[in-house]
Amino acid sequence: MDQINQEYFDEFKSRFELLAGKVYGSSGPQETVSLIEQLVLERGQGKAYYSKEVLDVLESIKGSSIDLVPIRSADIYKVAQGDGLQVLKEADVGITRADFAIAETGCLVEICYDDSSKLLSSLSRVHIAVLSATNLLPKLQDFASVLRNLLSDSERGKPSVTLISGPSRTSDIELKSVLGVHGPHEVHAIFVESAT
Amino acid sequence: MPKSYAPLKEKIAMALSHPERSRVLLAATKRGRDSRQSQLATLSNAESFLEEIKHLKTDSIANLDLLLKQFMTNCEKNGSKVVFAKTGYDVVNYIAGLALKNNVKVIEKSKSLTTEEIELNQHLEEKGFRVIETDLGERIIQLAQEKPFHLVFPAIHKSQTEVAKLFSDSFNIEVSDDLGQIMKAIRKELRPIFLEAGIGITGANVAVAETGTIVIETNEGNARLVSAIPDIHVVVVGMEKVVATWEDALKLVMAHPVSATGTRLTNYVSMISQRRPLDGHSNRELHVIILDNGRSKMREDPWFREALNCIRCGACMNVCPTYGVVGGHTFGYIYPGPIGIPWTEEIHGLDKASEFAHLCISCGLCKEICPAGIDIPMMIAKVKEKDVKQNGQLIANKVLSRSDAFAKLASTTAPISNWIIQSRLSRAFMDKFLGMERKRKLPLFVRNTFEKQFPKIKEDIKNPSAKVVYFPDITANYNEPDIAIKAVTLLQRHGIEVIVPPKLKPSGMPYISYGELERATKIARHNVNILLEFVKSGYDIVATEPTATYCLRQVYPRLLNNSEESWLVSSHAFEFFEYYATHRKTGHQVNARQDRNTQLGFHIPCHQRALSAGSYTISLLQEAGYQVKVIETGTCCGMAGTFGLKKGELGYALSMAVGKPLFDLFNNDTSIQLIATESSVCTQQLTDGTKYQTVHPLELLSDS
Repeated sequence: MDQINQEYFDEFKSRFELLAGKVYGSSGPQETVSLIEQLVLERGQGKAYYSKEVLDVLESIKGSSIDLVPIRSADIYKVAQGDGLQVLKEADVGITRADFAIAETGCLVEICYDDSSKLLSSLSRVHIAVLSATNLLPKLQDFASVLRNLLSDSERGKPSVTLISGPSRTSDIELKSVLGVHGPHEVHAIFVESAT
Repeated sequence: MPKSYAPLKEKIAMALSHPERSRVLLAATKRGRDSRQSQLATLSNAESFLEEIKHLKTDSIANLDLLLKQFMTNCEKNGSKVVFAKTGYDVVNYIAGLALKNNVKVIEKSKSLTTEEIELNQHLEEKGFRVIETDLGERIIQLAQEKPFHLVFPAIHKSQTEVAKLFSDSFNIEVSDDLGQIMKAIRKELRPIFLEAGIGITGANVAVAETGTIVIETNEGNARLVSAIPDIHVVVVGMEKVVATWEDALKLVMAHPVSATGTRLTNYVSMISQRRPLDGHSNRELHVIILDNGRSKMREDPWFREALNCIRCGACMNVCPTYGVVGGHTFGYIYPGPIGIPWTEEIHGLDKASEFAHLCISCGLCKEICPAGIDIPMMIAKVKEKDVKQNGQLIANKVLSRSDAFAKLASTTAPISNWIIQSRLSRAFMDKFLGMERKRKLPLFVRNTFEKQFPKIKEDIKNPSAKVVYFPDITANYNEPDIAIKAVTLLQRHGIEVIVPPKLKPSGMPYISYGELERATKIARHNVNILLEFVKSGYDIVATEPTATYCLRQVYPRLLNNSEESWLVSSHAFEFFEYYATHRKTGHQVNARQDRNTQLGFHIPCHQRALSAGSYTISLLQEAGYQVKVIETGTCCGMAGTFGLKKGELGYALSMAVGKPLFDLFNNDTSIQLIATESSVCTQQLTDGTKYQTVHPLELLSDS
């Protein structure tokens, strides 16, 4: 995998932050875990849940198993099969994987094969997205061929794909911008670089 | 007896009596325009980007049959149920059947204009289902039992205080006048509904044929919940939303927010191809209902086909001068604003459309701003024509659209006609019986018209550097011949031959404004036939009235079915200063005719925005040494041809209300001493509305 492209990262960062999102760079799985812990301790007001895909990102980078559960102090739980909706009702912080980021539009791309992960990023008050720093596309148009490939893979079925540009927002009342209508009030994106 | 438009006038009067609402609306629409403009400015390829949108929509509508087939086949392959609904009734029945079969009582929705179009909520509620809107603006409208005020911001007319009160009353809790508390209240109301509703209904912003995917854009994120939690997800999508590829879809996904709110992307863009399991529970359904409801008929109609290009961004209502004052409850049925007129006529019928079609004052700005390049003004003219044919023409419109005949008579009988025009008694008569506002000063007529004077000033130029037909409109001929004479003299001084064919008719724009397209077409054909001969022998056409050039350039080709001849004439039509600046002898400077220290406030007439936007004029004024300051609201001054001459709500009163923000800008600017503008009707409006004298730039320049 290529190293992160600084120019695109900077463009993404400035656009995403303009949309009230927060962006962090992390040098690897351990730093990511501490970052998450810190965010949950600082920002969380209740339980934090993470989807299993988050570990996939960290493991693919580290090449070995890692778990967020040991961070007992932060009260972080893994979303288990079958208890999705219950989890969603009580999740204050949702930690999920983002699959791509697009610089031109400052958005994260979330690819879900199960709607539980999608809801974790939709219903939690604080959303933390973890992604591999190399999955950064310069232009929105670059994503067209990615989608075409993704949606032609018949084995896993066709995932639900969402572009996320910061926290949930509305300007429906007097055009005043307010964050966190139904979904997240905060979105934190952590770019994890692979160790070279 | 022609229709009186009394209900419309009543609504306008009501809107005019709430200036505080107009202020909120104007601020909102201005912000919409400004953010759109600044976002476009950040794109490196804004112009080609908009051009691509227009092309991809036109192509998609052209290939619609094929694309729909492909989309439906792919939806089925993905395991979704896909149905084609001829009418709204079919949609209601399908969803009601689905709900009964699955024993669903509560249905949740995310924002969808297409379901508004068929009044889905009301019909489902009548059948005993509880239907809840989950978009904040839509929920407000639903609780208030109103229709959307604006396409993108449905509740823009409701103040924070009003919303707090509405929520307090509806939810039986105390909601204080604080945005945070309002948000808390709506979250508290909707959270259980998200988790309990048995069916979730969404619209779709795009349907992608190549993969059978629907794309839903929301800022609040409610569509993500509506489409993910209930076991049954129903999509209602207008058939015009389908595109071939993901490349096309992603262009639209960016064009929607850029044009609607001035952001690059809507906060959440959901791309759904098939139902995904939740909690390992995989027996979940996706139903895609494709709605026709008049769209096929629209597609067959050469006048309205292009309306299917609409991407529902709402930019046209953000620039529409009268919409900006009266809002969507007056200027709209279910679809509001300029594009709402053809859509309403085609989907809901002429009766509904004629209730607000005459609010269009033919300024043409909606066409200029439309990202899909829809010729909305001409579609509206067609709707007005249908209305006039069915319901008769207002007498004031008859009088004013025939003003060329009146002008001829008045100038022949001047100064008696001027005395009549100015007499209080006759003005009272005209006010009462012809519907002409008596407060307006009417322009005076000269006996010695430009046409009569032209032979005396015409020079025979040997080896002319260029040849020009000067196109005098009514004002230049009958009211202000001096301006026309100055124009001709300037051109001749630069070795340009000028002729004025005697049989040319005035542009005919008023006929378009008042829906008399057959007469307008006759005039267009007549003028194009005359001008074509000159163009073929090397002449260009020049006018001092922006509306005249606008007609030649843009309107005549549309009226004449885009004939080759009309486009040839169009390509040779110029504004006076545009032509002068590009054809004058090299090394020639223009001079100030007045004190060059005069600070000018420059007004760009709407029709000139579609042309040079005054750029040549401004440069020349600056070259002469004047300080020029463009003063603009970005929309119309309100006169709109002859609209502002008519009395009452559908004339003077609305005209002055539209003009007020611009008048204020001019009047509050103490740095200027004089207003310059090229349009005769804007001159009249600014003279009436501001403290400044308003002149044609030709009166400020000389080059001898």
